[in-house]
Amino acid sequence: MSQKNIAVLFGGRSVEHEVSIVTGHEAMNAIDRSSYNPIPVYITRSGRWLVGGNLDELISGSNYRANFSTKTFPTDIEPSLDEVTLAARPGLKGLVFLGRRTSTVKRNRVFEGSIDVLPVDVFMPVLHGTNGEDGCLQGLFELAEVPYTGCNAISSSLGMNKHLTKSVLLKHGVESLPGVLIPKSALGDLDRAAAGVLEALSLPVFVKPCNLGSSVGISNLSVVRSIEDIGPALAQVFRLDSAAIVEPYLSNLRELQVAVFIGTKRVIASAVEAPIVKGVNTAASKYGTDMLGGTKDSRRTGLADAHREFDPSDVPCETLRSVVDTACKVCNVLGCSGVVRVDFFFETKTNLLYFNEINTLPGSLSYYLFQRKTPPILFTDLLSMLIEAGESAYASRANFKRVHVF
Amino acid sequence: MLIVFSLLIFSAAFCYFIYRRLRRYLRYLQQEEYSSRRFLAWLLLSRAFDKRASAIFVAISITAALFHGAAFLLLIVAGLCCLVVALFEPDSRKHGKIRLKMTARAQRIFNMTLAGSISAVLLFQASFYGISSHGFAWPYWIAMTLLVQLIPISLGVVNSLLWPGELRRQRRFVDEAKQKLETIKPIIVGVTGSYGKTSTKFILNEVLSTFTPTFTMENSINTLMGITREVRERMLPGQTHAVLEMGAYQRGSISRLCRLAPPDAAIITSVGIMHLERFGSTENVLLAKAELAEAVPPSGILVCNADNEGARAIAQRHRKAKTYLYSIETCENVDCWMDGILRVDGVTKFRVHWKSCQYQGSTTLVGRPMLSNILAAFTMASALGFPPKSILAVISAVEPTDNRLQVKKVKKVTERKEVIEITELRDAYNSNPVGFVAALNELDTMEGNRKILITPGMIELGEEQYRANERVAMIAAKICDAVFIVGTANSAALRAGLISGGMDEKDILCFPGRDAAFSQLRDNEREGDVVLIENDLPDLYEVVDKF
Repeated sequence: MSQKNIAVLFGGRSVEHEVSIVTGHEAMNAIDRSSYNPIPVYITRSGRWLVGGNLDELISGSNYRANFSTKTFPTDIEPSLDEVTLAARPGLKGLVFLGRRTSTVKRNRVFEGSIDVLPVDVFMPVLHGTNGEDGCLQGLFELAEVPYTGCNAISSSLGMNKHLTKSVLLKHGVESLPGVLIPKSALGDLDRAAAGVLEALSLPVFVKPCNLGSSVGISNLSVVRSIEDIGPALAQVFRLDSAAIVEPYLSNLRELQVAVFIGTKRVIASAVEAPIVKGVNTAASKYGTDMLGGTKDSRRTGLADAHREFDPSDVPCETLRSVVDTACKVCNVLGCSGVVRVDFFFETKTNLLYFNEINTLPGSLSYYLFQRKTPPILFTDLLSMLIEAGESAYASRANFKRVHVF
Repeated sequence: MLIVFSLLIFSAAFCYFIYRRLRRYLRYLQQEEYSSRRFLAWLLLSRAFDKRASAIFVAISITAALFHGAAFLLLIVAGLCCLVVALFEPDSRKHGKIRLKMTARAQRIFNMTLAGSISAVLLFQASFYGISSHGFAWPYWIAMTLLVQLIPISLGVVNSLLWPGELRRQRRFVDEAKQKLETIKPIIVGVTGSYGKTSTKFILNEVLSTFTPTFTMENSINTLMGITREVRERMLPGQTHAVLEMGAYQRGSISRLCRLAPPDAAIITSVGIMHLERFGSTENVLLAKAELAEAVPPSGILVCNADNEGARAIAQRHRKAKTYLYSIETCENVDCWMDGILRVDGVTKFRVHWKSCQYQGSTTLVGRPMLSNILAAFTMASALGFPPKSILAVISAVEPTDNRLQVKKVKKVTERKEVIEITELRDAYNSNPVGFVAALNELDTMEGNRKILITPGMIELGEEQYRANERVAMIAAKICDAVFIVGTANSAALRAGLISGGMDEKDILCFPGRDAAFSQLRDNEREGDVVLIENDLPDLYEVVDKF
């Protein structure tokens, strides 16, 4: 039986590029190679899609971090790889080669031999942040009419916008922290924006971007304890995003996270986790600053290795159950599929649970959370489930009657 | 027949050698910005003319004179030697601190010179063969030696020949860029000064970009062709402002830039002694910078650094509808000043006075000169109509750029497999006297075990160069525990300054190039070291590798 070609897309044009490389490495190593032929596709920081050569070794090997730091890639390795792209045209069933033919990747000739296609059966993006997790890529998959894993375009886009997500969920009875949305135009009159914040919330508050993921646009400036400091916090966000969300910064809040696998017929929640991170949740503290430099001795491998507590004992059981139930409800309301991670805040004194945010393509696909489940689900099986779900979703979409309007 | 065969082998090997050697020289021509004159000057000063191949040919010539006959054997030996030497030529596209970029222009020069050289070689072979087919005695080998020496010269000649064509191309590009600027019509802010211009441009861009789509160059591109290319390739309709750093390399350079991009506003950060040798005199430096002020229309905005004599003079000579002086030292006769400067935990807080109001600000950028740059950006942004409070809010959030007095804690693994943490103060960009002292002051305030300075010194300061380096070294002697001097450009001046400043001879180490210096540093680093990396120079100023 021939294996299915699974294109694993990692890297990407976002600030979470390095995180995606970690996820790519883990996925390439875990995928079941007896059933699937994983084809690594590296999306460079400048947005070029590269395949072939010894990319498999480069991403799967233990030295992968050093291979993908900005210094060694692309000048040393890039000439040995081929550039491909996904064309917004149904029927090609794979990636189209652009330009050079330097590597030895299998290809089909189509269009009377005028273009080469790298056949792909299922696309598995493991990109995070903008251009990978926000619906852009998913929209392209839809136009190209190819099977892909994970959330579709709408749920990805919705999940990326914190404000809209909270608004939609509120209508379905899912509580989140009260928040104020501040558009970029507020820079014209900071005093008024500050007054608006003070009307709705009391200090201290936390300022974060509305549309970016995973702790970018956040630093120690984001915690605003006196109202004069709100200017820099907002400015930091507006350099990167068009809107900021301001929420109360409560010191007695614990984070609780749970991952959910949504397949065609079943929904499986993972173990609940209370990540322990010092200080403010910046990208650096979550993923380790040394990861970005590719030091050989760096041991951090992303969230998978952070200090963590699973199914914490000091959190009441009903809260844990509530976390799982609410997460599944969130996924249902937003229409998610694949593996997502839902993050909550838990107020220890009042036992109140608040929805914080959803990650529609979480780092490491949260495999470490599923491994901690009883009974555990291994990453390899999770990936297989993900691929099968993607294929089913594709079949469902293809099944809809197409109505033409003239 | 044997002769023809060996002649072909030798010719092929010789041509291959020329191919490799040309590419090596091309990198230096490119670094000298395609100036044949400067390239040839470099060639002579660094004695970068060929020695290897010439040595071989001369040796063979002597052999041919002493032992007659077996000319074909000599040809084959020479061919093999050429091949070996050729293979040892480093590929400048991959090696060297500033690598060769095979741009279209570089390719044109390379192709033409290569074609010319190969033709010359073949012509020589043919004529020698024609003259004396059994000769190929020592005169032939001397002729070959001459050909080898002519390789870099031919590069210079071809470069000069192609100049008019390149100039035409450039003119066309410049016209296109000018067209684009006239269509998009952004508000153009020019920034110039002997130092501080890139940082000021960077900060101003961060501020403006947060409010409105703004165009600027990513790095320190500030030449006519550089700006032309960036405008053609990256400027977008919808960008309302453009912040252009303008480099003055000689009298007239900024005027030319302003013909391409007429500024609506200008910032003059300083008039100093940078690039003194290119200008000729300090008055010329001032006049060159003043060209930017001249180009601003009378209804425009001029922002000048009151703490710098030259900049102040320019403001006085060129009054505009809105002329503003800024200062971090005094509040007399200035429009915008800074006081209340306090350093707390890596954050510098300050108070800005502007138009009878006071505003609190802060920054994580390091060094006193940076405060001046911040004030320049603030003044310009306020003059352009953006709310002062919001401007300072953005400035508070600005993060330092790489290698401009950037503090970085680095974990390293030593040979003995220990993990140590050292602090690097990266200030590798163009060093000027003011910046160097500021960096040293920063080094002084930092906590650590040993303070180490690694630098080649400052360049392009003309007749001031020795004194400036010596002065800086005297200050360094009081702050540093060890100094690594890279290259020979300033080693004498630096040593003299360090020793008269009281540093021990054994703490002063000299290295021919940066790689040697850094590898020694890496081998000897210890936990808690603080290393100031000042002014990483292009290859031109290091000891040249062997030709």
